[in-house]
Amino acid sequence: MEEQRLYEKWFDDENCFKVAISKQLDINIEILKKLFQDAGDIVQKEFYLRRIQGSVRIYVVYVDGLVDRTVIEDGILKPLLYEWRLTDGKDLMESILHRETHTVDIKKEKSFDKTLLGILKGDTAIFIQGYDQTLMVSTKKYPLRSISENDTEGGLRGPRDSFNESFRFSTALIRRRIRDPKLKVEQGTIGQRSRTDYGIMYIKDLADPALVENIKSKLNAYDIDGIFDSGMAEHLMEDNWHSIFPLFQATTRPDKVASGILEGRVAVVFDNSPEVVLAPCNFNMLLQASDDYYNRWAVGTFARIIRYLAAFLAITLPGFYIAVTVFHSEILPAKLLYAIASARSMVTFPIVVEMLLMEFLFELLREAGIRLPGPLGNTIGIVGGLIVGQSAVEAGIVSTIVVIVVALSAIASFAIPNEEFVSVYRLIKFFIIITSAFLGLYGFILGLLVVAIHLSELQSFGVPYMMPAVAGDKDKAWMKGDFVLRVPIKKMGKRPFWVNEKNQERLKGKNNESGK
Amino acid sequence: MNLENKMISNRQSFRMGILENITLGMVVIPYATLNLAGRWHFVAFLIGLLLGAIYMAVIYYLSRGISDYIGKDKAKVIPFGRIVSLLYTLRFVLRGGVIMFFFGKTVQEFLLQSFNLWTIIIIFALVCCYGASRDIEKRGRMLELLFPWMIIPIIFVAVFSISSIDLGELYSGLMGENYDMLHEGAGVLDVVRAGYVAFLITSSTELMLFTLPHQRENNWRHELKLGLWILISIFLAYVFIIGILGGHWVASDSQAALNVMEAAFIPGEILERADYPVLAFWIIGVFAVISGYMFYAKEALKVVAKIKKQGESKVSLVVVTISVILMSWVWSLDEVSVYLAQYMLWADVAISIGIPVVFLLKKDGKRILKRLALMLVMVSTTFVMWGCGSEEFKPLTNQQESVEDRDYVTNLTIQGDEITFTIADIKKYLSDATGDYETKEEKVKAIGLKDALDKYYEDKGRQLDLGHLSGITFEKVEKEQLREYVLEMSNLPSLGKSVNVTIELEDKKDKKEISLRQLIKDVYSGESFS
Repeated sequence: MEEQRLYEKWFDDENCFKVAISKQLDINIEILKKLFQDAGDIVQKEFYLRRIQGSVRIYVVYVDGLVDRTVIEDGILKPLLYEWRLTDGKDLMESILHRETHTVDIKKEKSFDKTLLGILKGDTAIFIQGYDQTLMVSTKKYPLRSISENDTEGGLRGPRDSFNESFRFSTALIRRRIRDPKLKVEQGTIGQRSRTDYGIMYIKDLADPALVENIKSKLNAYDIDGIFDSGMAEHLMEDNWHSIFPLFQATTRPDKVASGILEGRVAVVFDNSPEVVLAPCNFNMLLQASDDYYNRWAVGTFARIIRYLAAFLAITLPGFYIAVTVFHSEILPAKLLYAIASARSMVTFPIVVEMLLMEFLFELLREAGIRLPGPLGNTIGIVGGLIVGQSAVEAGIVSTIVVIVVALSAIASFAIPNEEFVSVYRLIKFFIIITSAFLGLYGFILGLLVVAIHLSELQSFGVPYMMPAVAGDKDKAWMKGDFVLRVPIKKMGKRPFWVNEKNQERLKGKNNESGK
Repeated sequence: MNLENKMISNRQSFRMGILENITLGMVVIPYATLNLAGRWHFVAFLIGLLLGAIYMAVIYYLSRGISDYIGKDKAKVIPFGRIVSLLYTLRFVLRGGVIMFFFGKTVQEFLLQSFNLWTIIIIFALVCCYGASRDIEKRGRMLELLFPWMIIPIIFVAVFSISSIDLGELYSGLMGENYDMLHEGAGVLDVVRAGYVAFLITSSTELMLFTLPHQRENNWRHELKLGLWILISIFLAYVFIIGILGGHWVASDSQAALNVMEAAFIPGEILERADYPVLAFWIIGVFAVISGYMFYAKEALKVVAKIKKQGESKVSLVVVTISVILMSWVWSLDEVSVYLAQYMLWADVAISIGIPVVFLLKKDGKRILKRLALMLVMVSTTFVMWGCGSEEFKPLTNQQESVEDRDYVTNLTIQGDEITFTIADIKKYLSDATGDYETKEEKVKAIGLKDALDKYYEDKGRQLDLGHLSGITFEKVEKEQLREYVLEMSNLPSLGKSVNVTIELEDKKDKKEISLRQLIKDVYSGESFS
């Protein structure tokens, strides 16, 4: 109860610490001790600095595990306690700030709240007797996995690095690709308790200021306890929350983000999230892969045609199979139809049930494969795919053709380069299965029509989701060259229409040759 | 940030115009002109196109005149008076209803014979309602996206069926040389009347009156291009239909034109029949037309009820949707539809021009709506329940079995009143890995093909599938009997019309081989089989 009273006294409604730093070190120490009571990972220690004028007390606080101890011991404590012993210490804070420590990243902090936030982020705070400010030394060293090869958005050509959970690493990977001083990283925190760092990255003269402001206002529109992944923030920022389609492009590829930023889009990087989100985003972007641009244009175009076809098959194949076999078998060539009919004659369930069973089995395997550790996940695939599938066919639960249809549709969905998008396809596939099961081809086409109507109303930050298929005007259809057809880089001379009008051109030839 | 509210681009306007205006014209005009004008059908067709072009020009002129009052400034589609808006609401509901009814019948006959018409209509109305719930800008985007969905399959079918066009038949058909027996004695008035009816079918171009003011750039070249493409598309469809099916067949059956898609030969034989998928995609065009009428009816109703809030706008759309469903039922009632048809024939188009002209010359209750919506729901539920018992709305067949519960007929032999079905033996097909299959024969005594199918179903509990016939043989049948069978076959969408038919008439010793399509054409044209 006493703690609760103290918390109410110290924290305001937005969970900010409202007490000021006291010049009396003992008061600060008392507050810190009470605040971090039972927090075993907080290291707090008092030191005495011997100077000509006498001893001065300092109090060092940091979180064990989030800091680089070498920096604290060699860069701060060793010089303060030994190297500068018995020197002039008139204005100790200024002296420490400018002379006595072996680190560049040190600054004064007036706010107790920001000091606490810094400590919790991995900085080391130094409270000094007689000063109502602290010195904050950047000593962050998080337990992180290293930058590893991209395993979710792989490609045959192009860089293989991917973001990890470190906010700073992510911004660095982007900065490394765009060495333009106009690349901005506007930082902030989101989540009242998690205080998660985020950074809005854009190029000042390319991104539409209204877009940047829009994203900022959406990030600050809610008070939430914590944000643990970009996905959570993404859902908070969406206008069409009821839509199943992602309105941000989430990617783990730094080259994709850098390329997006150069198109005038805005990237939002979140701490603890290996996925950076880009806005605006559209349907076409989610079907593009980075190596489309690294391969020759014809190869890139071919890959895209395959991907678009795959996307279409992924949602329509099971529904079309049901529509044709139950309602309109006239469409099928005779021998194929006989093969289907003979395979079906051994199965006990109706086609729709059979299809739903198989799809359910596949979803089950997929879910189990994700949850189990790597090698076990592979085993599940083999057990499920080969053994259960084979047994189901032999037991007359499903027919071989349905196994082929479900497998084809699954393989087609794997060709889609964005995992979030694949999940949407899975949902639509079930919707089309149901409409086709009820009304055959009529239901099949009505199902697709409903999806198309929904897609045509969607917008991501003011940009129609189905761009460039709904470009409206030719001048806005720049992406025609970057749609199913990927024109040669030489011909991709213009940026998208949402970029500042003055900076539309992105490719200029030096010898009287210009990109169009 | 990148949107220009309530405005559509020229490309969007073009695509909307094409989808809204060619879908019905392509299919219905050949039937209307052939049926009403006989051998002078092509003249009537040209008159219809000419009237259509003039109408489009008038609509374009009127849309420019009232553009300041529609869309751009006041964001209201029909701002000139609540009474006029009410009239527009009723007109569009009426038009939406008639298209919905005939569309429902077509889908029932070609795709869903075992379904009640209500199911088809209500589900389609709901999808149209969803499509009509967007604003003009999103509607423009929606139809821009859907445009290739319908046009590309049609182009594919046109390319693949071009070899089926009989150029001699086409030439003589357009000249009317062989169509003497069609509508014998058609006079000048009949020809003009047929032309007028053809024009009425294109009169959905009226929707441009409301679309064009929302267009970002108004320029006559664009509208000319749109008009020309509408007319060219309808003309090409006309040529294909006459060239492939022949005039007699088209003149005798309002839905015959849809059989033209069946003539497409898909390379590699990936699909046995292309007509079903294309018909499915043709639905998108019908969706564009009906959702268009519902959209503008909703906008007009909003003016009538002085609606500004979004929630109430949804209520107005619900009212319109229910009204369209009810109207489609009303169109099925002969005693009422006669009067409605007269109104559509003589008054509706005149009103569509008259109101804007009067307006140009002048140029200078929401709770009730909710109650109205509730009442309409109750009334429509009653009608739907009533309609379920109506013959007009009943399923055409109760046979809808899955692939394994059908018997696939490979050959059909008709001899007197006995029909022999040669059926592929699927069970043996399964056990034999060679890919060949054996057949068995089943004989049924019946008065017609449909009767035979029904008797077989009753007897064996399995549905006979005629979709993969490789041949039909008429052995020793009388001419009249042959004619009846062929007419019956022409109305069986599941039966491919490219099947070979062998005929041996009772009084002849020699045999004749002919394709079913040609046989149907011959039967409709009254050609003898001697």
